[in-house]
Amino acid sequence: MSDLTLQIAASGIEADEAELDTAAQNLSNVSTPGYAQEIVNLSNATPAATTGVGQGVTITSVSEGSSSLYDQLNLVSNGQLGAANETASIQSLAQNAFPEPSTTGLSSQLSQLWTDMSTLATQPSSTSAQSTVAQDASQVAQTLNGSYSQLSDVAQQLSNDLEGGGTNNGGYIAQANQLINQVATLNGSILAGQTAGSNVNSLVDQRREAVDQLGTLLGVRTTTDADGTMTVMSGGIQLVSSTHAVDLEATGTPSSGDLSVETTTGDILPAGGQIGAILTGVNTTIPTYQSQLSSVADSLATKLNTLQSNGVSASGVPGETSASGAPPYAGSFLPSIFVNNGSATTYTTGAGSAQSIAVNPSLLADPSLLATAAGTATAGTATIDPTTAQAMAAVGQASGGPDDLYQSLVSLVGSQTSAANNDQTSAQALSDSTTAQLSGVEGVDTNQATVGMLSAQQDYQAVAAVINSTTTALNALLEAV
Amino acid sequence: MRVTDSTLADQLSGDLESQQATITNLDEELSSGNALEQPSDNPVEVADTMSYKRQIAQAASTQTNATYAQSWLGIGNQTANQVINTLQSVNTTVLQALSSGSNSTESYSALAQQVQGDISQLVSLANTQYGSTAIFAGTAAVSQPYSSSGAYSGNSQAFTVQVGSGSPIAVSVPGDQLFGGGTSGIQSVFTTLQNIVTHLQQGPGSASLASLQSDSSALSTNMTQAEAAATTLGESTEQVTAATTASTNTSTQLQKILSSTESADVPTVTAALQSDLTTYQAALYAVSQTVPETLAQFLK
Repeated sequence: MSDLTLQIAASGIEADEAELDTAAQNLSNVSTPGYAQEIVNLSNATPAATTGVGQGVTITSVSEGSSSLYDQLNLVSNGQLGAANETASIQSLAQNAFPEPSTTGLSSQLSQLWTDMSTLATQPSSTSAQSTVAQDASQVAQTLNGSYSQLSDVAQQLSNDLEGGGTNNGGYIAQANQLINQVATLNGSILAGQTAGSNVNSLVDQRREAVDQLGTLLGVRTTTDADGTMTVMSGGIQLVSSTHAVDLEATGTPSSGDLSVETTTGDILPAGGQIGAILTGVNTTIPTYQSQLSSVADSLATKLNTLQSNGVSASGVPGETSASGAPPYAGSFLPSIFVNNGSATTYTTGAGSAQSIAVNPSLLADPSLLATAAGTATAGTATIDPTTAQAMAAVGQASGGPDDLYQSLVSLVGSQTSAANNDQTSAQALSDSTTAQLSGVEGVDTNQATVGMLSAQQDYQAVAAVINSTTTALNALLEAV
Repeated sequence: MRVTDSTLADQLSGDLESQQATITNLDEELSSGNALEQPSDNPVEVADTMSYKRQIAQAASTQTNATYAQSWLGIGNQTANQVINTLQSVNTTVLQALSSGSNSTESYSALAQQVQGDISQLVSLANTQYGSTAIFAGTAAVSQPYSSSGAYSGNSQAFTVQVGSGSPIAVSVPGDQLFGGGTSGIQSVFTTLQNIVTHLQQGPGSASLASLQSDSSALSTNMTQAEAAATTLGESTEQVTAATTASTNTSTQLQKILSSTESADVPTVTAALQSDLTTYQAALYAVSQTVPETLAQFLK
């Protein structure tokens, strides 16, 4: 009797100690990322065959209170939140290149150009009015250059974030590779631990945390296999399978719009998460803005250069295609107003023209070479005919003119940024909700853990009392002998 | 649902964060006075604002050009009236020579000198400048379109100024439309006057009388042309005034709309800020009350 009683009591003490240990473990890990609350699983030990009396309590296992459904939901929302946060940040950086509405942005500078051009039309031979217009035009060109390169800088920074280099050594792809390898390694340890029958809960916690981070970076889904290993997929491509990890690398270039992430075996990843958002940013969003900015530059340069070429300056120098520039005129023609930087005579339109647009240096040196008069004015004869200057000033009002195009671009940037901000808010709300659900299942409830601890403590005291009473009974028996 | 510590903590910190973001936005709006700080604040209103600003700049430019045009027209009108007065006085002189039977060679000579003086005055009027630009030279860049003998070196294109969005308005008349000659098909007023001088210098007689008769009719053609030119200038003045009024009205309207879209609505923003601050304080109170309360506190 007494031997069995003490054995039963001992199993009870052991179980209560396990409960207390687990409560301590849970309370200590209240805010550990990836930690899932642990539960002591107890079962009634099989009764001895002869007497039918139970043999105490057995600790079956200490398991995790986890839910693969909520893990999965959380992972998906992590990917969405990662993408939404990154997109919002890219949009906000890109938007900085368009400081509107303001009194200093391109829109105001264009207005100033047209106003001063209109003033020049009232006094075509005024050198100060000519020079003001040339300076205004130069200012507009510089602002276009500035906005374009600001966007290029954002794209460069994003490429660095992705591939490493610059100030960000490593980069997101390197981080993703590290996490992929970590998951594969943990899969191996979990497999080995389970075979050896040891507790792998902490390894599972670490793996959950690693996969969460990978989800934010890349947008992944997982399945847990029967042997406890986890398979990590990104859009149909396996990144981790059991202990096998697939390395990722960047391929393509932003300039050709095909920067992407592929596996070392050449499969292009349909990347989501932060990495996916960066790819969209550098391949699509920023090039679109730059190309539209170049359309503004093209419209400005083409319209003014055409008028310049068809006009005659106040001092009687004809443009190349003006009526008075036709043979027998043999002198030099008016230079183009706008040129591509570094090219003194011509302007070529194209997706990168906002980067290179500049006012012709020879015009800046001699603003009297601006066409102000109609092309029919007599070559070589000074004139105050303002026809061409008036036509140039009217470019500001032209539909499809530079002002219109720029306004559409700002509108586009604004609405895309605003949409990205809204997406971020809803992704955050979704993530908050899945995080709450997940922590409802996996998280540690201090009160619950404390109650468990108190109850284990009381149980412990009760079992101790059993031992005490058994000892007393035994002593009484021994004294009686 | 099980509410765990991290559920509660995440939710509370998320709520506080979003409230702080709202309050920061409202603070910015109040301190800058601008409802629209960047395109994403309200893409539609930002585009509208840009468009309003362009139109306001255009209206301002219209005002500047209108002032300039009015100066030209003012001088032009004044000069044209002086030209007409001078021509009327020449007409009086010619009528005097024609009407009186007692005119002597001496009196004819005196009248001739008077007309000679009028010619000098007309040449000077014809070379009137605004700034350093001759206003009766058409679009030719010459400072003295008329020589002392009245030869015209300007052209017959009117100088125009763009006022508003319509066609450019002619702010002067080319010299040949006021003084004849050039391509106008009308004998130059200077030729007419020079003829009158020559004929007066011939002294009284049937020949000179017949010549002066014909000169008088030429002069009246010149006067009709000058009056027509003055009328043209008057019409231009009215056009400029109309365009100015229209652009002032547009500008005033747009400024109103602009300030209502672009500027922060202080009472509304202040009220919203007040209400958000109250909510924020309530949330802070909730955090301070909720977070520390666990069973562990009551274990002694």
